[in-house]
Amino acid sequence: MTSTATLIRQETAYVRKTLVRDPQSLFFTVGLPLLYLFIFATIFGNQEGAVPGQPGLMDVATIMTASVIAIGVTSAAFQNLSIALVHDRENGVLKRLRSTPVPTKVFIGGHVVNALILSVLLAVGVTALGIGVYGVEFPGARIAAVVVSIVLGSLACAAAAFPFTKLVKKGSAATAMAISVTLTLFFLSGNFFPDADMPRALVVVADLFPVRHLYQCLLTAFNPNTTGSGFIWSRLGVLALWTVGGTLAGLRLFRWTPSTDN
Amino acid sequence: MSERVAIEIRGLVKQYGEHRAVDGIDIEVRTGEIFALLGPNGAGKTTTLEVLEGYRQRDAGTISVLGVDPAHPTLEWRNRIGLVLQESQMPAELTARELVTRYAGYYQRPRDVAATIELVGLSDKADARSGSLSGGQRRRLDVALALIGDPDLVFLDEPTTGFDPAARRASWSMIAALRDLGKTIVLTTHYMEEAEALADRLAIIVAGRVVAAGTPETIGGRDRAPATITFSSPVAPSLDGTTVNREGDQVSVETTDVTTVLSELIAWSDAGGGTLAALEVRRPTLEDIYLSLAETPT
Repeated sequence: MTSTATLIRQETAYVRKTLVRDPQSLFFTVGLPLLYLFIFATIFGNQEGAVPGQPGLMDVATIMTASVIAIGVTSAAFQNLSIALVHDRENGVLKRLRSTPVPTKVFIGGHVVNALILSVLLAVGVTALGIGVYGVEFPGARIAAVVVSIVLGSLACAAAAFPFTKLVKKGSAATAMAISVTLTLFFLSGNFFPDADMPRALVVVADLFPVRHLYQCLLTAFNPNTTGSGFIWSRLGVLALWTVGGTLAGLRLFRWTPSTDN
Repeated sequence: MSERVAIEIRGLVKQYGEHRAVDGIDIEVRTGEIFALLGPNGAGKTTTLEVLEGYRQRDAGTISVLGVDPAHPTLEWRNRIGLVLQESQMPAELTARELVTRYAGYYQRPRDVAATIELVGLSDKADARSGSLSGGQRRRLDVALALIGDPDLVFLDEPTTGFDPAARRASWSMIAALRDLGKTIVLTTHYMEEAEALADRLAIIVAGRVVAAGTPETIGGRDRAPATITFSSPVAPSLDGTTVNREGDQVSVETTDVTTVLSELIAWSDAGGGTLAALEVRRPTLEDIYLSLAETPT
């Protein structure tokens, strides 16, 4: 009998292989966020501006690095994961898997750890691109805040993906539904409008979901004018809440069998 | 491991709304045999199987599968069971070997990966992605996944539906080989030849009920049903106590006593009474029995 840790490691490797060998999923998950960074940096160039809630002025490249990391984490941990889960459920892959003695924690662990690794890799790629090409300043001592935000943001998104699959009944609808949710959240959370003062009502709505909290945490951590360690505990707290709530809801709502069964 | 009875079903009922998909089924499957559930589409075969596999909850009845109620499956129980679903897919991006290795990790006492791939005849396709395999090859890969845990009991839901005749024969020998490994096998099929070729015992299910059960040779009184002797002759014989039918030169005799009638016919022919050209003795096929039962209104 293989140990749970080994099993999760193996499962993660298979989940990663499945993603890496599927060019379409890979593009949506990895290519699209990098493309966003490139487009924004090209459009806005070296402008500097005041960002609501942030001390001092920030240049657009720094803002966009923080924004695109948030987008990347959401793509990897929520969008890609929920699409993969719905497809596997509707195709009978999960039903098949359910007949084996694989413990649920190994199955979930494989997907969540894969999402986490992918999030971190994407963040490293985006940060490297920002620093290397667009002159973004390395967050220095606030790097711990960056890492914690990414890990917690990734867990919150992954935890939300499991109950979300309950809303999607057809495999063919999975990509469209997941991307419309994430795109809406990116707009609501101000990811595409670096200097806009978003209407209060929209901010309230956006703050119900993890994306804006993650984005704000990253903005603070990447802002060279931030003093201190850069942690925003209240926002990290909301991400932790999503992680716990998503997990509990997922355990209740997640299905292994296709919607056509019963 | 040593139970004499692998599966015991008493009074199984499964209802979908007003419709009783399974309407009081009693079945016993013995350890080490191949048991077939034969019936038309929509008869309740797959529903029955999915209740046994733990996918569906029953509405009434008692069930024991390897001593466990499948409504409350345990990991230990899943270790002893392998299954092939009617429609199941695997991640298209992984190779056959990767998938079998992945599944091997889930079980306590897995079989050898290479040997299992060999058993299902996929050795030369082991490194092909499952998405590039043909339908028949994917089905065999599915069987490899069902076997990798070295299960005591294997469920096969319509294992050869959609196969060409050659692929079907190949699958039959593979399934028969599983019995030689000591596995208990429960399969569903709507092919008579398949039930006849593979099953030690079978149950015919129509509209959610078992209308007949037994061995392929004796089911539905097949061994006692009259045989038909046909031949062509310009004149028909007359036989004591047996009705002789004649259509043109085609003569047919229905009898439960084939030997006696045949010797009378040979004596009649020897005496110059007529010819026995194209003589044929036809016992009722499983299909004859099946059709007579399937047509019975319930």
